Amino acid sequence: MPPPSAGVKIDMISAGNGFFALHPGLSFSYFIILFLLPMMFHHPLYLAVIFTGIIILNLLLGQVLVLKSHLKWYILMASFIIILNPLFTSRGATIMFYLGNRPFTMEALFHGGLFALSLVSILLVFPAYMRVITPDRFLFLFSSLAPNTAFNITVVLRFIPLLRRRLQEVLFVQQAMGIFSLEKSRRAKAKETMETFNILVTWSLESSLQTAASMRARGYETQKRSSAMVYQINRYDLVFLGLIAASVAAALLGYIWGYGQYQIYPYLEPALPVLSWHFLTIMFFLFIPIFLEGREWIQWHFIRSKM
Amino acid sequence: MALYQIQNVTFAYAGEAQNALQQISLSLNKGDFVLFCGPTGSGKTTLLRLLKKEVQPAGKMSGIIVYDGNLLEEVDQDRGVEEIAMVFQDPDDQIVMETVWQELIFAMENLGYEMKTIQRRLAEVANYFGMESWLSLPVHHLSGGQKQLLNLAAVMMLRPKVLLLDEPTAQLDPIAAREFLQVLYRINQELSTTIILSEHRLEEVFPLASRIIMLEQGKVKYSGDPHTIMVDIWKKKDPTFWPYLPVVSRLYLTVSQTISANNQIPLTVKAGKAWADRVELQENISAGPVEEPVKQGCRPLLDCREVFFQYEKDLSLILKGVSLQLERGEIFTLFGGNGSGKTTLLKVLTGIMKPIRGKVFFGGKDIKKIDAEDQARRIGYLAQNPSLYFNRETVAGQIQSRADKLGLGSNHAHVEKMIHFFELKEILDKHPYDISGGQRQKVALALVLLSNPDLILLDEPTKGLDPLCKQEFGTMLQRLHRYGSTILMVSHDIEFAAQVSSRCALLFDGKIIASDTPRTFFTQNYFYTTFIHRVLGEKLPRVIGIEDVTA
Amino acid sequence: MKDRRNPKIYFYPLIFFLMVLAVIFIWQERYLPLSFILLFLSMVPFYRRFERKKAKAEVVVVIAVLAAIAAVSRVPFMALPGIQPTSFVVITAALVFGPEVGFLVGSTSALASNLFLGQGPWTPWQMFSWGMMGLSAGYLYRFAWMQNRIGLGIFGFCWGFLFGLIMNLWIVVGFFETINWGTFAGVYAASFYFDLAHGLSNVFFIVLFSRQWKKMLERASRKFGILGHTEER
Repeated sequence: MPPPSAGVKIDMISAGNGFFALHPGLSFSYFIILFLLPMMFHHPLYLAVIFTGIIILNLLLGQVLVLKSHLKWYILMASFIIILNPLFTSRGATIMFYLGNRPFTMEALFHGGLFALSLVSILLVFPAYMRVITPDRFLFLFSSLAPNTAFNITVVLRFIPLLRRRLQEVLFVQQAMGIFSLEKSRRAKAKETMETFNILVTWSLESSLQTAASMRARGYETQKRSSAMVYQINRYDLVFLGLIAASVAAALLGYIWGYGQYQIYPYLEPALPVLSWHFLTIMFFLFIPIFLEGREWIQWHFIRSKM
Repeated sequence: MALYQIQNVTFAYAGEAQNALQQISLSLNKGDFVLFCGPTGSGKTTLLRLLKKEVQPAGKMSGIIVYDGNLLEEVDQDRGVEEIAMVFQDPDDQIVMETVWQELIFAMENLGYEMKTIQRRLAEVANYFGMESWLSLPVHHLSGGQKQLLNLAAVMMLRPKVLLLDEPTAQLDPIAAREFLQVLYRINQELSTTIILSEHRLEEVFPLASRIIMLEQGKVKYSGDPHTIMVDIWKKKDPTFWPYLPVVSRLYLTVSQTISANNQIPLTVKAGKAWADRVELQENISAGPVEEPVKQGCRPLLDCREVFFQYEKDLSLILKGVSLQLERGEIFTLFGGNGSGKTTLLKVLTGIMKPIRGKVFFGGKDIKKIDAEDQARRIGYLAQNPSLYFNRETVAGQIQSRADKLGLGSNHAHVEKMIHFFELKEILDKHPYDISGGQRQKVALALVLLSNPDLILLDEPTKGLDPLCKQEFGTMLQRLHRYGSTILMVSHDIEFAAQVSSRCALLFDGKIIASDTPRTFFTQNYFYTTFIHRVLGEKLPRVIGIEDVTA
Repeated sequence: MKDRRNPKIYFYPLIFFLMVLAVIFIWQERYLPLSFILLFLSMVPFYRRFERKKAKAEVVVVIAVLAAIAAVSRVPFMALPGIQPTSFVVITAALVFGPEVGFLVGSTSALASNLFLGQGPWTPWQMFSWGMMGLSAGYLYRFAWMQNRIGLGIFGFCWGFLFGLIMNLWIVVGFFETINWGTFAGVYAASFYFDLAHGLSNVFFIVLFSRQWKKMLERASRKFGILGHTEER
């Protein structure tokens, strides 16, 4: 363990095990790269591995329900792209049929499929991201880069639940006064709803004067704010920083040398074999959080089965 | 030694001709527990805010304020922020950050303290206020009382020398309020922090205060220790400030004819009882309007039969078989602790929230079968917070928009009647947020009553009102009652309810436990009863108010 | 006092490294990552201005409360699909408090509500769209034709489509191999109904409520002592 440093760590920002144990900056960077991967590599096997890796990560992070609830939407987006691409592109040698006088090619369809897989992979990064980079971690990351903005967002996050609760009260009172009771046109309903909402707006604007006074009373506007939120970097972080940096460097080098690309036109290039060092690097990169989370899972599983 | 010296301070708000404060001269000592009181508009909030540079209102001030030997405006900025702390009225409005611990360290972060110092104080403060277990909670998970405690703790992080508090318990229920005031007393006693507090909850604060300052129309009317002030008010027979005294003291002053300087006036039930044991007192119970027997025979206006309610399927039951009958012309008060389901019951009785089991009959008809608009007209509901009613620029506009919705033309007789009844003429052109809280509540009630409802449901109508407003509100209810309105109110205010109700009931664990006339109700209760009954209950078992006693 | 050995700085090189990495894509015809980076860079100046000077407490609070209002405004309209006043809130905020506040309200509201509802690749695009909506409303308000409800209504209607245009951009750029009128038409046909509804609901709110809202916000700006757009001129 590293020597104890000056401050005692405040652990009130959601901390945790496994992937959560990493410094938020590190996990944030990891997600940015994960987000870029499906944009960079359109080779079908690369995409398949990336897609699988992201799915497993989501599952390990317990985001099954989120995936399920979004499933319909993912399919819709994907089929939209699969179908539209060949309609607008006539490249490719294998003509399946003609639409009017435009050829509909298998290659373009396949390309649409790859695009769809890439899009869905990008979208799937976010449920996992949301689980790990919680709002407080996100704000922590940006509080040193853009302190005023981060502070402003914190205040918004404090106001949103407050306003929602007040809105419920306002809606009830208006209902009790007989608004919303009759069958009305959409227009009339929208008008009434907005008038009701205006009550909340008037109220919130008035009461936020108090918020500003309370901020100033506690010395906002005096000096530069310090921050008591600190994450210590430990050896664990350093190891993973090394691993991530190394695999990213390798992946980038390979990318520049042309690895991970795939030729579709005029004929689909055979996808196998790709067991190159580059492919393995990508797999290794995807495996890092799976290892962290999986180890945790096995540990608990093991301990529990012993008890 | 004097902490604050206020000399000849006169203040007028920007754009207003009238002075909010006139020629105030006061000297407040270190370590004092000072109470500011007075009717709404007396200038206590203004005076309190002038004592802290960062929250001084915009306007014209003459005279000087000296803080700890220096002119207040010359006190170093950081020192001013650190040493003078302020807590405001509304618990929600003051909180800036998202989680409890962020809120606690907000002030220290602003002043650029080192992380190590912040952490030490955070640990100390969390411990002192017993809030370790909620440190990482988002603030919207806290109750009102917890939020206000958080606001206090958040300013205590800076280790202030003086705490200014502007009606900090006005929005809290009595238990949370008492707890908050006890914490203040502890801070005053244990840390010798000077406390300057404006309050309407005088029953609880009078015994704690070492210095009381009563303001009226921007001037200091009385100033001194509690005893001196009470004697002064009693001697002058001052009708404005008489209701400000604790009820036990008022009983003592009413009954005893002579007060000598060394006689201690009782402030608490304990002291009152010790005094009452020594003197001769007689019951003098007249059958006031309160005692009027309820008209029996005709169908009850509201009949609530074994009502069960829960908000969501998996949440626990809030109402567990409430049965309640309300005759026409009653003023019915429902008591109950926090979370007993009082407010929920009121909402169910509006007919908007549907019970999961049981039935509510209104005027003999199942409430579910009444047309929604008709139901909204005939059942008036006034929520706790009058802010829930305003979206126009003027009071007149607000009343007009409601009248239009109800299909009443402008200058309709009923509209005029309501404006007259609630004395709104003067404030018709003002913005709803530029009038006082008591006036806002009147406007809200006027809006509700525009539809001329048969039943009026009131949710804690006296919350945050000063004693005078409360009296006035009580008179208004009696007048409405005389016009034939039926009123059901939910309240924590025992003294108020004892004066105005024709029947009281206690809701506990989702059921109505006791329901009686106020006299029977309060004389049979031990905890849930008036101060006077607590003092005299053993001697004169039927007494519940001052007017029931003579020497 | 700021801790000089703040460990956070160790991660900045990594982040910048990622940016360099992204720039390389320019030669590889990967427009999507490039578009994200340029989008971020385009918003930096506004946030930098907000960062440079310490804003008055009132300014911070008013931006925060307006952004929260914009975010919460969807809730009561859940029952009326296609109608939601978020854009209206952003536009009116800009009219009263000026282009910069307008930008911050719009983009902060998008970011904050996504922190609640779910982040996605659309987050920066929404931040940009609503931010620009506020910015342009605040800027154009100096011209006479914007100061009546007709001009404002047209402005709001156009933004309904402009918003869709920007929001669809990343799909078009990233996931179609040929970018021509056909692709655009295909994607925009799919979102036409939503954009039309957005434009029409902007018009609806502007025509019926913009006066009242302007008064409400002007009162707040007076009470807050913030010099807004109106007093600037």
